[in-house]
Amino acid sequence: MESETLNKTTTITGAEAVIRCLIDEGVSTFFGYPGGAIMPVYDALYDYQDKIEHILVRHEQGAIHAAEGYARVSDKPGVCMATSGPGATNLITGLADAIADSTPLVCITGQVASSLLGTDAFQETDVIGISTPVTKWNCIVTKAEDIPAALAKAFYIAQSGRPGPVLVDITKDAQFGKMKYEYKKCEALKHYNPTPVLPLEQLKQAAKLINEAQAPYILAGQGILLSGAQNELVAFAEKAGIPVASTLLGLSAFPCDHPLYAGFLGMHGNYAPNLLTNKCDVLIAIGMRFDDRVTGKVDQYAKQATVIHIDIDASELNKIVDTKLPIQADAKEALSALTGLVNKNEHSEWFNRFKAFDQQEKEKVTDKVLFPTEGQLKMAEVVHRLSELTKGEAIIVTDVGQHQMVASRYYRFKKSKSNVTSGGLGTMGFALPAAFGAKLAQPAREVIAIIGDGGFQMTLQELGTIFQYKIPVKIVILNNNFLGMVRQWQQLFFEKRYSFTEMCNPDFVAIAKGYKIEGEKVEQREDLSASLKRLLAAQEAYLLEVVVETEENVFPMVPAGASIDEIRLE
Amino acid sequence: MTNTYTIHVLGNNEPNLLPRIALVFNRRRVFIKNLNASELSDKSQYSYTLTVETTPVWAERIAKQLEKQIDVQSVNYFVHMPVTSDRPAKAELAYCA
Ligand SMILES: Cc1ncc(C[n+]2csc(CCOP(=O)(O)OP(=O)(O)O)c2C)c(N)n1
Repeated sequence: MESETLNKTTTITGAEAVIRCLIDEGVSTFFGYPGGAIMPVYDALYDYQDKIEHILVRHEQGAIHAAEGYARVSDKPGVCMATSGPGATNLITGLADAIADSTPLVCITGQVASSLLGTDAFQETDVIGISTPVTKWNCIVTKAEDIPAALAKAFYIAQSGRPGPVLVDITKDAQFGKMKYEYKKCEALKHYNPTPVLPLEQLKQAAKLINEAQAPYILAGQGILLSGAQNELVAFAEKAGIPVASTLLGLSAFPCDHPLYAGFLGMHGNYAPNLLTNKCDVLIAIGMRFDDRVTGKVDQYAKQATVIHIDIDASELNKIVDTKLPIQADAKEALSALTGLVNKNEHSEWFNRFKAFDQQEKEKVTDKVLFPTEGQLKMAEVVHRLSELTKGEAIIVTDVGQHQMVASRYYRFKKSKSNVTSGGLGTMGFALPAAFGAKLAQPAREVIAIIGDGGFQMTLQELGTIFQYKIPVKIVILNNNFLGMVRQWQQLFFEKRYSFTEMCNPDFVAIAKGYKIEGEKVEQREDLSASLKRLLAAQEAYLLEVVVETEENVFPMVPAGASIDEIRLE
Repeated sequence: MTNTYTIHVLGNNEPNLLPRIALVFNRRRVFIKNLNASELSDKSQYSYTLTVETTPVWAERIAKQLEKQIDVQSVNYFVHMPVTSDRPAKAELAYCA
């Protein structure tokens, strides 16, 4: 039967075509949840279980975050599937997350039969309407024969240019319909130019500015990882002798132990890289979009600097920051061209200015949180210990809140594509599903989810998926019994009025055990290392709840709306 | 300072392009004063003409966001300028992009 069904141009149902398209597109694993309007596809899948792995999640939001985690650590798009109505609407948060963070996703939703569209039929919802603002592209397919072309287009759009999520909504009659199957990968679309021609003239001008600069400074974003320009970035920075700072999503694009690494940018980033943005003379921003968490008050951001901005998305250029040289280009191509054009240089005096501020941050902040000797455990020491024990080589998946900022600050990433977090949307509940998605994409790597007690409870049902598929992902809950980041803002900016941020939490270890996942709770400093070692030594999934200080604040901090010059160390 | 702009979008004949275009404006609280959408004689193409009141900065941002839509082929926009004695009516529209 197999050889017959895989034979080209046999007549099959649209539902079967969906599965065969996924296989022909090279999808090996995808995530989903069945329901009425997608049942024909699930029925077809029954016969293909040895050719493609489907992971049954516990909630469609879990499916899409898992697909995001999968995409973020691999070179493939994440794929997920859901039924119509509530199944599809449960994907919306993930779509919004993926479009904010440029994550390539292909989502397939079942839809009621085309004759029922617009009649308020059972589980009919306008999925195209709802998903339009949060997709790079979407379409509805009402005929079986249109399925392969729609999916081929979807895969191409999701991955090309600036990646993003796409959604294909397939009516039930299209799934039942018969068609002659043939799949042609999409390699180009008329009027869509995802890879701009390298603008050599502008790059020459950029090189001239860089060669003449006294205090040049690189801001690296996720564009480096998306275009695979990690080595090109290192080569460029080393040749021109320029310090490199990273955005939240850029973390792990440049090794944290590299002598030119200046640190992490943004509201809770490092002191020197934030402050010196307002002192550099040439600012070279690559594959980043000047998010407000990075710029602080824009009218007081890098006003002294000549800005060179390289991004593949033309709409990002001059969107936030006045840019002398906006360069629409792929980061990898642009960086390798620039490296050829710049002079060998070093800027030791400029670089020493970072060192001085680093020392202040170390004394006022870092030493205190990494090496406390008394009081409750601090988030930072847990992350620091984890970073040491894994030699900075693990994939770290974080949720949203204080623990996310602490993990981003203190995990010393040495391998690229190792930081998976929800940046632009800041989606609590992201980490647990994204972590097992990442683990399925990179089974040989250690994948550790670091999650707050609040965020964990947003998608904890996905422990069921981890249990069912025996996915050996490691989970660290940093439990402060508070919605910590909100509490921090209440303390600092709302006169300590803790309005609904205190949490009465369940026994997390018992919950894990309910899913047959091993786990333990640690509260004492002297027990931390041994607990972390057990977590890392476990061959299967493992949950470690670390009870941390309840009212700890993350510093440094640029208060919301303030200039980056106003970054506070305490 | 706001001006009146006329924005021309040439796109593929895809049913979901009209809402995508409208969303680009609505999300940025730029209200559409006039909208014309029509299928062209080449049935694979669609033309949209919109009139809005906005600032030069937002007009440019919106044009870039429109260009970014997969099914958009090209975007041109014009600013309406008042007709004065030294500027005859013919020069009323200034080409921007
Ligand atoms: C889905 C969602 N709802 C609300 C928020 C707002 N929010 C941001 S951080 C945070 C607190 C997170 O608490 P927790 O998960 O315990 O992590 P902690 O900050 O304590 O490390 C909240 C509520 C959000 N980011 N996402």
